[in-house]
Amino acid sequence: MAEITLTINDKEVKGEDGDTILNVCQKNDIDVPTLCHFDGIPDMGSCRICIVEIEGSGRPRISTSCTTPATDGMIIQTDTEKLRGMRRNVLEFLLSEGNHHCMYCAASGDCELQDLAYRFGIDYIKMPVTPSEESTHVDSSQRYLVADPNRCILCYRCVRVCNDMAGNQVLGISNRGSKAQIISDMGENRGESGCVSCGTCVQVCPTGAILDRRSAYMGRKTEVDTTKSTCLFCSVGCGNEIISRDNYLIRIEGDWDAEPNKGLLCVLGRFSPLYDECRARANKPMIRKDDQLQKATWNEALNAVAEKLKFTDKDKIGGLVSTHATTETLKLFAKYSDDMGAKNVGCIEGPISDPPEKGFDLSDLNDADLYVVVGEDLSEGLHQVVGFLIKRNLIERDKRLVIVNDEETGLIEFADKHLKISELDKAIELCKDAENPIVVYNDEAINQVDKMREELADNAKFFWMPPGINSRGALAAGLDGEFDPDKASCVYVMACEAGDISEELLSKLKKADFVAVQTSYMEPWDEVADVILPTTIWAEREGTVINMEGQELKVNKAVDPPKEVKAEADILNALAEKIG
Amino acid sequence: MPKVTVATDWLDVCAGCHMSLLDMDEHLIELLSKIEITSSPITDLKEPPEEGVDVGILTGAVSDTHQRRVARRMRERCKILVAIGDCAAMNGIPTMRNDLTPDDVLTRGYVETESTVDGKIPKSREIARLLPQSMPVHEVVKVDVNLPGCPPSAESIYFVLKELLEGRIPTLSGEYLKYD
Ligand code: SF4
Ligand code: SF4
Ligand code: SF4
Ligand code: SF4
Repeated sequence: MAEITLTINDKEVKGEDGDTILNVCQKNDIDVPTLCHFDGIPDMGSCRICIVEIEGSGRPRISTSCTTPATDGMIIQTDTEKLRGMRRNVLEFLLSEGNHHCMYCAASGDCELQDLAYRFGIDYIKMPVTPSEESTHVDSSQRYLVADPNRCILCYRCVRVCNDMAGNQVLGISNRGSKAQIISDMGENRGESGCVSCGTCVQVCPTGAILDRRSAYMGRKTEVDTTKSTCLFCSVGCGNEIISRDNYLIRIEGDWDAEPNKGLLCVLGRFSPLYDECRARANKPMIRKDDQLQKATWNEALNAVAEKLKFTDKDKIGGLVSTHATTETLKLFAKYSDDMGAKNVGCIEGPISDPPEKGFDLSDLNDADLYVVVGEDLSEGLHQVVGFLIKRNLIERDKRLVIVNDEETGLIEFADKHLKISELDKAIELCKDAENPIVVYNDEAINQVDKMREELADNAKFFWMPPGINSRGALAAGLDGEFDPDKASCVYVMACEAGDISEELLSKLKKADFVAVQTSYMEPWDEVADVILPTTIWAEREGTVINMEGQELKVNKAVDPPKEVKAEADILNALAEKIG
Repeated sequence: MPKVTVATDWLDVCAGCHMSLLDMDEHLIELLSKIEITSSPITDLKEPPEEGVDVGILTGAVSDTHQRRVARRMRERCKILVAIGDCAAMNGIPTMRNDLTPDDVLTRGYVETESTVDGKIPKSREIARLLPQSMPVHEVVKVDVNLPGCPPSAESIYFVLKELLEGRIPTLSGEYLKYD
């Protein structure tokens, strides 16, 4: 890129061809106030706070710096009396429309409009303060968020992220001028629209116009603790920020700096853990006596398990693990099972296929021109962020999506073609014609994908969606085998949060002589466990996981576990010591 | 040196701003060596003296004919008028009724409230009439200093009064400029 030289506020500064004036200012630490600008989404100059004066023949021209390309030799002023006055006017207009009475706004203290109003010393508003007649309907139809158009400043950040970043294409604008309003789909309530609750709009809204219901009024940014970690609800391994206050979990946000997701999260990672998890926490060790689980001390519970493991024939011992666990814990589990000679060990999700591709880079999705999705849904359940990364690319005309699946999947409305599995050959032909095809698949589609691999050789990339969260960690620990409940009379389960267990497996476990479960929640294990060993949840865990890309990602502890709850590895070590 | 005279009054408002004034605690005692509070809604004397005061303080928005009279009287009787609180400076809570007509507001309040039986909108010449819109003080009379906040902190009220005593019109920023 060619270097360009500009004069900004009488100082010579450098930029690159293709930069906007705002880019150049930011690169050179020149402070230009902004409001609608947001890193990572296209600028549109809707708020007009970032205006600058550009000198030319005649009077200086006033332009929004975020949308004006910087050119070599430009002479620019960013902070004149005139600009300050104009910015103040813009702010007063924004504050005068709608409801900007901060005393009863959940965003107060964390609001970019308020910050600017303070910065410009606004102590009264020249124009009449009147709520707009158009936008008094507060939309609280969505389960996780509330949209209050009265506090909306029409910066369009939410519209841009919903469409361009998360690819969900739900939000838009209706009407023009003072009647303009953010709408969902064709004007439906958000709860009845196609909104998939990814929450990206909540995270970027600069004001109190979109709020996370649960955390509203629970603490300002300066009052809460933020812990960067990794989402433990599927194998994308999205980077998140866990927001807590006094050891209480408040909210989960996407980490803009994290590689796989760059700030995006899906409903499973952002909202469900705090809104939808309603199982009772396992918070004390328990032993079954007279067919009832009863409170015990850690010593009693560990002794009961150690006794059983010690005196059971090793061929009758079974081990079942959840991939919610960190790689370190999975390796420890594998080591202790080996030490005991137990071989009937596997993951709750079943055996894991070990694909030839040891890893891939999700950001390659941006360079692909054809996406073939085999077996996966990507619109609900796991790996939704991969769905977003694909959908947002489909905005570009020459990119196509092909679904190979006998069922209807959620991505079909975005797809160019929906093929049956018997039509796999057509998909292979399309890949041959494409420049940069990427095949996204899961273990259900192994056979089809093997065939594609054979025919396409190196001409396509294959992205495996592992069945569990840390399946690659389980592979690294050698835990890819199958657990056979019929062969085990004494079963040790390291369940962590896992609760989605088939009835069949549960009923088989019920028949075993002895089942010990190391778990975060009582359900469904209280039905089958003889001993419950309470362990941490995602926000209390520390270690690493290996995501679908093969990247090792750090999981950090945001809050302390309840008093009697122990970390997974501590339980395993204590048990190993007792067994000797 | 004669003391600087100060009068306060309230309009469409809760008592929070006046509570914040009292919340100055020991600063109030310090200030009282330099200023004299001639009248206020929370003292025996309610109305600003006819001979006038140096500083007039108003809290609250202007929403009815009585409040408009009170605002005008304070303006006439003071040299420097200070509007304290979000309601006085920026219209605040009373703005909520601005997309309704006064009739709607009264009907809701006196007739439709869930606990009301056979309610009637009271009518008497002695009762002030609601203005079509509630307004911040500066829309009715000239204001010299606006101090927003709901309520503004005791420190910011103290800051404003100290600045005025020093002969300066205060400029608010940092901790002294808050809307909540
Ligand atoms: S959105 Fe911002 S400016 Fe508007 S009321 Fe809320 S905190 Fe105040
Ligand atoms: S939650 Fe996601 S899908 Fe729903 S409106 Fe916001 S950005 Fe769009
Ligand atoms: S809802 Fe928030 S993000 Fe969307 S346009 Fe309004 S202020 Fe901007
Ligand atoms: S895609 Fe997976 S890792 Fe990302 S937020 Fe959703 S559940 Fe968490």
